[in-house]
Amino acid sequence: MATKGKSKEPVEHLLPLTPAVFHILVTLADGEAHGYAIMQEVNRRSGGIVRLGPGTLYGAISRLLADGLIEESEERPDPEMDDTRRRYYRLTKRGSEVLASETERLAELVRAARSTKAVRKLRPA
Amino acid sequence: MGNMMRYAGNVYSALLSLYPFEFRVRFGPEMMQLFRDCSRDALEKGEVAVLIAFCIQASRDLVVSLVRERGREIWSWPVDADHPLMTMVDALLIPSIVTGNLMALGPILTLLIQGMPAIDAPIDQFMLTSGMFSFGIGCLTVLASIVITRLRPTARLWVKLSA
Repeated sequence: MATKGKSKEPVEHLLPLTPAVFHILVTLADGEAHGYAIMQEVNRRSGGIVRLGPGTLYGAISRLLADGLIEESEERPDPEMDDTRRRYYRLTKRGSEVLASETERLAELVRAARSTKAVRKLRPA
Repeated sequence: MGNMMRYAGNVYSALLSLYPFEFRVRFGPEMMQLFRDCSRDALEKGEVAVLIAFCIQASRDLVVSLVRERGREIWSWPVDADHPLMTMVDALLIPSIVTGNLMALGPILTLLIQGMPAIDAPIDQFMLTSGMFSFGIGCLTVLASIVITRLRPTARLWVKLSA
């Protein structure tokens, strides 16, 4: 696809991640999943705030594949129970690194926000 | 309800053809499967409103992702970007999709908002004629954008072969 060859880019160049991409990586960090499972899990984790449609989900998956952050898995968790037409995706080592960097970046942001007077004042006891 | 789901699936399947060729070939079947799974979920909840809400959400998602994928395809295609044929096809594609949809949907939306005029009510002939023309041209432009979408992979192949 158009973004082929970006997988050698330094991890920092891929940050910040969009909320959809971040949620997909977090979901795949728990194990491989197919599109429908990713969609359901993102919806559940975000409390229904992030709703991925088919176009957004596969657009993000396409970019993640091109950047080498996820890969298609050949194995099926349970071939007899599952539809063989489904494709499973899993996180790569590079994907884990990007997820860790983004998590750290967001944690820094939260720390910085919490240290401000305005947030300290509004924080529940 | 089952018929409605099948109809929605057919429409969605047809609209998938507007995505870039490579994207459609790679992800089209999975997107279709996902659409079916989600509409089955909506159907299990047993309410038409849930299915309609899902279809509206899926349509919005389709339009946004379609523009994004087309944009990605057009702007990050360094091999062919400078070729006059590709430039022409690209330049025609997005405006034809947008204009066609606006022109075709305009009169329908107007009718939906204002309601169907009564048979004996005085009809502004000019408005009616221009609305019909707009609808006709819009439909033709949508058709043209589908043809251009189909033409794009061929044009790309032709560019590669002639390079």
